Amino acid sequence: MSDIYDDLASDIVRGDIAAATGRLQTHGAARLDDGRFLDCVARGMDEVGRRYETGEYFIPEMLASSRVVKALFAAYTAVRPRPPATSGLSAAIGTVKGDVHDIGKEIIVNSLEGLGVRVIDLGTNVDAARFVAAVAGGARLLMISAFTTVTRRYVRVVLDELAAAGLLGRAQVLVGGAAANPEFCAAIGAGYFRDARAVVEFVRTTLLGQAPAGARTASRLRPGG
Amino acid sequence: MNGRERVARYLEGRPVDRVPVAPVIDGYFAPRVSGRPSHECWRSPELMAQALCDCATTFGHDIVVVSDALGAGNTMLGCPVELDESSHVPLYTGHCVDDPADLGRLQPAPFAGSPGEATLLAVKARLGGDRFILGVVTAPFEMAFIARGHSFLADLVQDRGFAQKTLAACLPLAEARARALVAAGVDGILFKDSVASSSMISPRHYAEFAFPWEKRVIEAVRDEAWTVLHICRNAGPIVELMAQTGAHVLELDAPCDVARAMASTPAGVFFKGNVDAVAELQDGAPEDLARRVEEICAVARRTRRLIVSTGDSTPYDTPLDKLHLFMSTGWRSGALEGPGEGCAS
Repeated sequence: MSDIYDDLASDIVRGDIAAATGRLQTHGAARLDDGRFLDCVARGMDEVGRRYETGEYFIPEMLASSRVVKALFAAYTAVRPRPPATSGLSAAIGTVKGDVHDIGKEIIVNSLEGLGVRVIDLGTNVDAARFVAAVAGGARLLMISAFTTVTRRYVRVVLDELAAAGLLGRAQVLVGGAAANPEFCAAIGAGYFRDARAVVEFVRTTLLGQAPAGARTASRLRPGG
Repeated sequence: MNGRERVARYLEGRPVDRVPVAPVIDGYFAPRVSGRPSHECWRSPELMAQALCDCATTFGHDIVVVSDALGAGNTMLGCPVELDESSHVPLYTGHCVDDPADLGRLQPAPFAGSPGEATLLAVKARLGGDRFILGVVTAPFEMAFIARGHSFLADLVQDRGFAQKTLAACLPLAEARARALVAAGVDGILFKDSVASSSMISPRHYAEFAFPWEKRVIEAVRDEAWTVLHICRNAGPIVELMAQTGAHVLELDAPCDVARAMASTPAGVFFKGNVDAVAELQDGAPEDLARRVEEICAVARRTRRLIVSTGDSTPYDTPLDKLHLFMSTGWRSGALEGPGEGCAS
């Protein structure tokens, strides 16, 4: 007998949004078990991440899977108060002013929400004031993305503005995107992350204290972190 | 022998004095030399043309890429574009196709009277005949990405029919622009399909969704102009298919192994590249840059199938002396035995 949670995880891996939403509609989102649902989402995204790491998957497959997760969460949260954001961690993410790339950001937002993190998605082309406001508003993890070397310079502007507002140090700052590299991040005092997968793993293991993705074999994702 | 003659003769397999040296110096970098803010240059065909010509005079590269971002991709598609004082590049801030009903919005915009035409004509008036002039066309796959945003990439998995319809809607726009550039007298056309990279999509998706449309748009003009196909970052797994598009020149970025690419493609296919525009040209140590240009020149001298270039656009912050070093090293290391048949100088 098939298990809806295994099937949903499989739908996520295949990026099959029609199958996933249809399956959820038939089952009823209100009947989902919170823990098992979150676990199947995490398992699905883990497998997607693994396939991306090994070169089996590329950006379209990652985006398709992220879309499935987004659709599942939309259906899931529509019938209950938003329980996933129970880890206690509040994060903000945005792509810097002058840059509109957001593939990695989208994946991170969906994945972290799957881990129970409250994520404030600032969007793309975000000016420094909005990053600062997010930290002032309680975000303790600030993720800044810059895709081009032209826009990478603006990351420094954001950190300067945080410092000017007396907020530097209140939030952990991570910088990612194609234009980021360890040297640049070290020079500005931010953490560097190679890709969305690395950010999610860092949050999962270091900030939430959960087992690494590869170490989890069954339903161990705790709503509440 | 001037740059235009050198590049044309090289591509025809005729003798030249040295291999062509042509880092991609386009609208992203050119305002640095002109001294005018980037956003002013992008908005003014006259200023952009002036900036491109000033660069050509300053650095002496054989090929001038006539940037046309505000006239080519953006205005044709009607996508919102932002270009403010803190930015050096025009940015798409939204997309214009949400569902199949929107595809009808994708209509070719007239090139005549456009900023793109004005820029091209101004550059040709100053440099035409002296430098090899490359016009720019956004290839259908990249155009579809611009039109749909990231949803287009998800469509490759979740709605393949819509993806193909979007590509079919983009093809006439790309063809119309390519034909207009030919009519305006460019020497060649640079077809940009950056997103079709194996750093972004799988070779299988490239074969199904990008290659067929590249081939069609290139075939539309390849008998009338030299054609260059650019794909960003890793194109190694797809280089054989890229060659089958019919493009005369494949512009490869730094991660690609040019020697391997040459070995896997017919002898008549040329390559352009592949200094890393950021890590080597902008940020690298001068001695490392010089060594890299020398290595590329050695391959070019031996094979006569490689134009010495960057793999992508020169970044705005590139030190001017690094570009001078690139050029002087290329001139010195790219010299060929004898002046070559019919050389003017």
